[in-house]
Amino acid sequence: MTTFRLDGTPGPGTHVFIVGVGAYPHLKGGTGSVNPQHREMGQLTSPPLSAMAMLEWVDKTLTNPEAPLKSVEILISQPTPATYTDSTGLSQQIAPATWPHVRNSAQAWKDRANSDADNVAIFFFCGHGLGDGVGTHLLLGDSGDDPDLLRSSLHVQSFRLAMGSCAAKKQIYFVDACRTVDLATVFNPHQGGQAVLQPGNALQVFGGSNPVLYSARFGEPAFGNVGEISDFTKALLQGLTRFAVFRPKGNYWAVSPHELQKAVAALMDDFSGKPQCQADGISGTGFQLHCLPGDPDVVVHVSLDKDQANHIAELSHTATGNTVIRQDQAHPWRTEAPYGVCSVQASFASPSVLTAKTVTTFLIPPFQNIQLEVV
Amino acid sequence: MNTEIRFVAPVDKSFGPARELLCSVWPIAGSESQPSIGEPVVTNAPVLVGASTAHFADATVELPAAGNYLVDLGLPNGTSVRRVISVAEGKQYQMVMPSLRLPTTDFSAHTPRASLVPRVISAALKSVHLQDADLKVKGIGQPLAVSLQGLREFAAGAVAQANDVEILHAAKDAGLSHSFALPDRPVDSFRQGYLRQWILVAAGKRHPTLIPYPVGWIERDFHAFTLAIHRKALEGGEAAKWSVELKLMNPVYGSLIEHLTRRDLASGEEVSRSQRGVATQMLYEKEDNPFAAAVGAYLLALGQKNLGSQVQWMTNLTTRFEWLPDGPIAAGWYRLRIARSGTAEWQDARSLMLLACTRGLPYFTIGLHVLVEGMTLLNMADPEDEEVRGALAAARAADVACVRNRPFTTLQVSRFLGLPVA
Repeated sequence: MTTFRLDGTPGPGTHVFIVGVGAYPHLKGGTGSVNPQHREMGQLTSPPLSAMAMLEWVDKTLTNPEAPLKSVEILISQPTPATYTDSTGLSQQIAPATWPHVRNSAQAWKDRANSDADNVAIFFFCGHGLGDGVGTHLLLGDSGDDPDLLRSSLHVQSFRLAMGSCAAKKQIYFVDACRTVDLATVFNPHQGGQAVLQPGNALQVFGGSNPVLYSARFGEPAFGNVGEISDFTKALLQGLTRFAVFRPKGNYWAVSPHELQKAVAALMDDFSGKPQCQADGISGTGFQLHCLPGDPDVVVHVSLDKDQANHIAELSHTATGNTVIRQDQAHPWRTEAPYGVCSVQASFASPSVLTAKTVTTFLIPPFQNIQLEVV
Repeated sequence: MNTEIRFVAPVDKSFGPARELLCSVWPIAGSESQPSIGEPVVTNAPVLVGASTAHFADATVELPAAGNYLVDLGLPNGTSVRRVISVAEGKQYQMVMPSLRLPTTDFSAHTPRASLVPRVISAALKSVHLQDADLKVKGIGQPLAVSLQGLREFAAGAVAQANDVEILHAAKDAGLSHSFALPDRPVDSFRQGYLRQWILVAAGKRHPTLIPYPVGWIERDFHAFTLAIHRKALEGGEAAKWSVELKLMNPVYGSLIEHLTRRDLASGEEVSRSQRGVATQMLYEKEDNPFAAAVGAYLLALGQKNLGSQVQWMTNLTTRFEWLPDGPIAAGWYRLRIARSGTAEWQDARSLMLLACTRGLPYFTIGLHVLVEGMTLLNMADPEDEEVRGALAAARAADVACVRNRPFTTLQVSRFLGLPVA
């Protein structure tokens, strides 16, 4: 177990549990005995970086007056142990994300979150994942040590069900992992996946808000460049910091799970028509995760209604006196602008006779889609 | 004329059946350099879009004054449309929903309603008459109760079944997209002698899809159900893979089920509480429609409220319609929700969930998900309970093989039969 920012004072707080798995000794390319059922899953560089980035954001940026930060539980598996010095000066080596560590940390996280119904519980995982047709198994650092590849894996749905008896009525789960499905080898109707948490004496149906935000669509892989933070975590951190906000009481901007889903989806949109950032359990008015110190920005997708006009178009938008010009031919053009009035325009290189009417609109976070009509 | 917004569907038919969208409107005030958003004119108000019958009409939202407004419309599939509009005094602003996809081939639009009466034909005639059809839609009866454990055998038999099948639709060149109204079939009673029926969609015997058909759900002014079918290609392996969706044409309950499928209870409750929602519910109650009642039961069971006397209503749904799995699922989930493991309520929930499994595949996808979750909780509480373990395995297998985002359970038979035996 590795814990930062532990605060035992009474009252509601935010309790975070971060897991990043990059080193898998028993998967392809691993340092241990490699499980023959590795299914081409090997070593990853992105998850430890993503988990560390999430830790840094939680430690240095997370601000929630309704539930101030009261603990961060973190486990990272990478070739050499990670270390971190938090904003209070506490420096620690971070324990690896193996089954025994995850089991203990998960229980400690649940117990702390259980202390107050107004607590916010945040779970973040980045590493290998496998879909079983219904749910998603998250592979921990010792996956493959047992002949059963999934013996050391956390099943998201079972974990969430086991958290039903936790008093914290505001829970959110970020799952940054592949969800590819191979029913023939993964699905076993008699095994539902492991909750990691001990069920204890009392199970209960959850009575609060506990959405899951996924990096990948069901049955599909997640992405990240070697040696970089994953695409989902990048979008998640941007959403948390700049875009994914609503106004809970009219005078400040707060991040909520609902707006976060929309912001991450807009930031990750590949314009294939398929929705990004699948979520489970987004309902109701949501809750406050974090407050922004100032005004937010808005993710904007600008497109022309005639694709063929794109290569000769100069797209730009103007807000608060600043004009931003598209630097490449990306279409739709994903850009961002400050909250408030914004005009979006297109001009066409001579000798073209095309024109497009400027669109002036009021941008509200997290996302706005603007199409220019070319005549 | 009032200063108002009227919401209309695009003319290309891509919107699909009329649906209740949830509308929020904010005035944009202040100067151009310092704009601000005012208090909302409406928040999550259900507005009907795409309707064209005497009973249901497109919605309008009245505005307090001319000016600029931010309009946000939430669709039942979870997406939203957001637009800034300028409305002049005394004018109606017509907000057309964006086109969602290419138009489909709508056969019911070209065919008089009378000709949609299904034919019952023999196997021999079928083999000659429909030899070249690349799309067949059959109606199949279920004479006896088929439990979830028996679903595998039933599905395999249904695909192979040649006699006593009813050809609901067949097409030689079905194109990429195809939709048609299913025949309305009144029933004498839902309470006595009711037999479950299924729809089987396939290209020959390849990649069949089975859907429990809520026979007896009747609407006054239009067909109750449309079957929308799509495929990715006209040739090659993809040509035989039809993606099927049973669509409920009632705008209120159609929207409600779609919200429920995504577990968006807040939106579902907004729709059900509206004037149209309450009126539609009353009509269905008068008609003794158990499917609509099951939708209401899921809404209650999945919510946060203590139900009081409505528990008896849910019990009645379980006992009066002995063939309906959705009643005991909703009632069982409610009992799990109000108590902790080890209590008498959890024992009741166990009995109800097991009863639901004996009644077979639920009609609604949300029901199947809730059944799996409920049984998983029961299994966690007592891992040695063999009866629960067996039923959970069967429910899990069905859940894996059903299309997750369809409101009505849609079983992909090949996938189902290819799973390890439950």
